Amino acid sequence: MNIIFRIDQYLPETNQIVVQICKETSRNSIFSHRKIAINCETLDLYDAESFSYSLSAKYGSNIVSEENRNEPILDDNKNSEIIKGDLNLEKLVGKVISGKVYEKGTRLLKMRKVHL
Amino acid sequence: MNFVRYHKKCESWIACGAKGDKGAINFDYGYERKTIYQYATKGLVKISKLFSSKSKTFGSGYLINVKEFYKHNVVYEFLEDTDVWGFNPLHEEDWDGKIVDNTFKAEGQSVLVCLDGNPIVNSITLSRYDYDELTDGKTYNIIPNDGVLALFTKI
Repeated sequence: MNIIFRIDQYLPETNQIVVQICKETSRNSIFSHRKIAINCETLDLYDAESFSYSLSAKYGSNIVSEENRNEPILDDNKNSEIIKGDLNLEKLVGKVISGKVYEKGTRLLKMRKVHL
Repeated sequence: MNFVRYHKKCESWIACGAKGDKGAINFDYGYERKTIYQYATKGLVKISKLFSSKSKTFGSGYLINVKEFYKHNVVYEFLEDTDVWGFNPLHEEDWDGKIVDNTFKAEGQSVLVCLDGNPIVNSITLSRYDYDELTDGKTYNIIPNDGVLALFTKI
């Protein structure tokens, strides 16, 4: 996933930049994204590549996650079902099922609810 | 060395797990560390508060109260190939946890989890990580059958 960012202002007196960040594949223009102030002391200013890398690494993931959360859901994708319990593939054919993407390295723990 | 985390949101609580090879080291950030009880189904693990002498080492068969590590940065070291399971409250509430091997009557909000083996509860044979949200006042007849059952009750 690539992000893009646009520096709207540089404020040398406070050593801050005001930037707009979004994912490259955003459905909205970079110019329409909210502006956030970033303290340059939190970034790697060794050279331009380091600056770009550190800004992307530090803020990119949250920005992309936030943008994904706020994107409207297409009508066809609404009303997905959360499935639980015993698996019956035949009964699931044709249904739209909701899944969750966990952070890398995290998997679903197979707990099973029983009625005692 | 392999290290894998597991996670499952249940109705009133969250189950988590970690599986690691001997020698694997990993950590929980304080903001995500909500585990208050842990149980190793296999192996031996040491957990420590970061930059602190506070640590606990536990192996299979013991339900360990780890509330002192709640919301702290925690480091794990797997001293053997280890599977560890954890109980996390859904919100900030406190729960009491204990191993049960006798018939009991549920009190208040509680959860029964099979952590190992095939214990029999109310004539139903359970497998590892089967659970139920218990009914207040209902009696649960237990035949341990060499299995391990943990009862968690909201305080």
